[in-house]
Amino acid sequence: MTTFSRRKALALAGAVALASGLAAATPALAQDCEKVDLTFTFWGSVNEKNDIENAVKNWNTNNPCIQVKPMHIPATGTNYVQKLTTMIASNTAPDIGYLGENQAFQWATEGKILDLSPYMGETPDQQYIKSTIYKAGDTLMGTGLATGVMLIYYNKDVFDAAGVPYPPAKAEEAWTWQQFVDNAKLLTKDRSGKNATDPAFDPNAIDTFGVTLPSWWGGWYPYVMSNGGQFANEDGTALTLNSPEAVEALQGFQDLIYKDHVMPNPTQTSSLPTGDVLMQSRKVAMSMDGMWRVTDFAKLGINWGVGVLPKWKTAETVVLSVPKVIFSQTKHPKEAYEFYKYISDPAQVGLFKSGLWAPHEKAYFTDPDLLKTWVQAEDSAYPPEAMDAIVDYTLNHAPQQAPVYQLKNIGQIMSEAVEPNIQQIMNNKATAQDAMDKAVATAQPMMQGRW
Amino acid sequence: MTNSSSPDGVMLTERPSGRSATTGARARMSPRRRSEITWALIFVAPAVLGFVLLKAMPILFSLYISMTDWSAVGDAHWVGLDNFEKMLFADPLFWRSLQVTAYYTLVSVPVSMAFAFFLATLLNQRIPGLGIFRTIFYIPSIVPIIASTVIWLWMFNPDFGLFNSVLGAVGIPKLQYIFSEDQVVPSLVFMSIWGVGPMMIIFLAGLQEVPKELYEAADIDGSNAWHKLVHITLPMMTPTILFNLMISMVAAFQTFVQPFIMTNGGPNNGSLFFVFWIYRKAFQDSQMGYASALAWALFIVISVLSYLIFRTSNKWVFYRGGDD
Repeated sequence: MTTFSRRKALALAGAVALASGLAAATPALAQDCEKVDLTFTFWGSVNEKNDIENAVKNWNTNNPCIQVKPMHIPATGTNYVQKLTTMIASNTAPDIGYLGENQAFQWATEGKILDLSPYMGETPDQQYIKSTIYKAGDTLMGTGLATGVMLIYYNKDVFDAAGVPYPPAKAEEAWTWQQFVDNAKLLTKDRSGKNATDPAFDPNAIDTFGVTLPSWWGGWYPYVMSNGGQFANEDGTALTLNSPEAVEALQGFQDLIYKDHVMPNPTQTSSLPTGDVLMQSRKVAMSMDGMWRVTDFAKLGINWGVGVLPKWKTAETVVLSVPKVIFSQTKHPKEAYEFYKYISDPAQVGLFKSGLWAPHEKAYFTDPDLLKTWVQAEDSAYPPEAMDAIVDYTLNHAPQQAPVYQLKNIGQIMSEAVEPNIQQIMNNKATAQDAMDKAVATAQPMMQGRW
Repeated sequence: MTNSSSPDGVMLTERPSGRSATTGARARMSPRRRSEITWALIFVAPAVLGFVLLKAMPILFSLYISMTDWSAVGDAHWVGLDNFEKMLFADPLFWRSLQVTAYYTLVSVPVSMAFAFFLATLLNQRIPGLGIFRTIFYIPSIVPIIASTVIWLWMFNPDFGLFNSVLGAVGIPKLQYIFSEDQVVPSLVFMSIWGVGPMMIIFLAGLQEVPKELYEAADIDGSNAWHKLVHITLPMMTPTILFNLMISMVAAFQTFVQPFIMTNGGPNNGSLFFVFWIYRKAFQDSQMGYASALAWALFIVISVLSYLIFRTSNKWVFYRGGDD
């Protein structure tokens, strides 16, 4: 140290000069504000990740005072929950984040989620689609990040070849369950080309299936509701999935596979690619799925369309969403809420136009100008009938919320009582009545009422 | 635990006497000796601290939270033994998952041990290309478990998987494998055979420890290969068998990746392995308290079984130069 040479002094001086030069070169954040840093956690595919990160980048450029750090956490299995649990337990929770319903409701009661009532006004249900508002007791957790309605996708070429009319796009014209089954039979072909109405049809060598329905609750619960059934009783003390209405709808589901032979069984499904790829290769004529698959179908280059679900009694569907919350550990709730609104704004996030997300504010379903920000945008991925099968359907034909919004302890009830018994139905190991009687009995000790 | 069952047991029992001599000499310890001890403590400290901070404390903490209703994000409330009471008397899935796990353990441990022993015997012969064969049978064990699980997922596929194609070619009807409640555990047992590499290596080492003179003596007495296996190899191998039995029993009780990657505990909870269920309780249902109680229950089950195996081991394990 004593040998502080001239050379070293020069080097040091150079470094200082360089550093100050760099400082001068960075864009001036010289606004009269204290810089606030926020963390935003989310999941999603690579496309979603890019899109969200671009939106965040735009935000950061325009809001030098509120800098947001996007943190993408893959949602494989319970990976996202595990990571978030750890972050909260160690007091390093993000400020804003997506959160699965099961955790959102529970964490809200633990006081880990900020009550947004002061920010969102007195009547959020007039402004937003019902199923996108999340409330646990008195805590208004906020809205979902977007909405998505359950639909029927179909391959027009397969329908034309079989001479079957397309599934209607208007809820008022929805097929009855019987019409749906009859048409699915005409579309189901075995390897020798006979359809499922032919006495010589071989159900063990099916080449094209009429339909695939998902086996998670989004795939069967709309039909239970359509038939007048309910998931649980008024006060949430007992499941009611063994009611005659629910059982009839679930039996219809089982019959599609084992009696009508128009749908692959779960084992076959597990070895098949996803609905959009199946449809591209003409292995299936119709596929029930969420509105969010529009983005996948639009990329296939096939002749596809969307229609409404068949009905038992009323034409009804279910709207899904994912809670987007502000964690109560945040030090900057106001700034967080600014960003909270921004990240679900169709004008800012490309995922609305590209058909992954539908908006969650009612105005976007009625105002012609706002419709142009997503479904009617020039570069929109939606087919023309989406105005009926998505816009009108979401707004006017999803009167009920899914059980996950209402029932306490829904995660355990689903995974321990309902899903194993639904699997029994889908695998033809039990009739719908027997399986649901068992589900209701198993769930009894888990019932904790409604929110 | 493992050392006492190894043939080196004799060596280990001599050590304590050496140490007690040192303890007696502590009063008149030389400075050099003292410095040695200081350094020894310094070098041992990372391991001890690591164990205390990263293992012992979380273990004790989990014992505490097993008696609370902690959800991992909220406050913990003391509930005493309620979690254990619920598990034993009010939760059918506890018994279900214990049954699934015990069934798997009971079948997979003997099957994979027998297969590993069989392979080790074959690979103990003097044949050309021995190194290549040993490598081939060991390779599956170094494939990352996620990768091999995904490969098996494809082979089990009822429609175009390898197994049904082979069975179909000889006219056997299609099996459902992991997609059927009854076949899922047997299928996973079958899959466990794939990973016997490490066990095979341990058996192989054990086989090479068997003294050659015993076989030579048997040859002179005119015994055949079967006699040699039953009366020489097996008795001499019992310490190795005990070791493999313990290790694979504990590992089988902790099966996690197969249900996590392949079956999600289904169909109809047919593969609801215990550790997978603990994970689901902790991170899906946010019942950290109950999950900890389950983990301790598993600890008790494994401890009791290990104790029973050790207690009976003196009846069937033969230590060379051990008890006499």
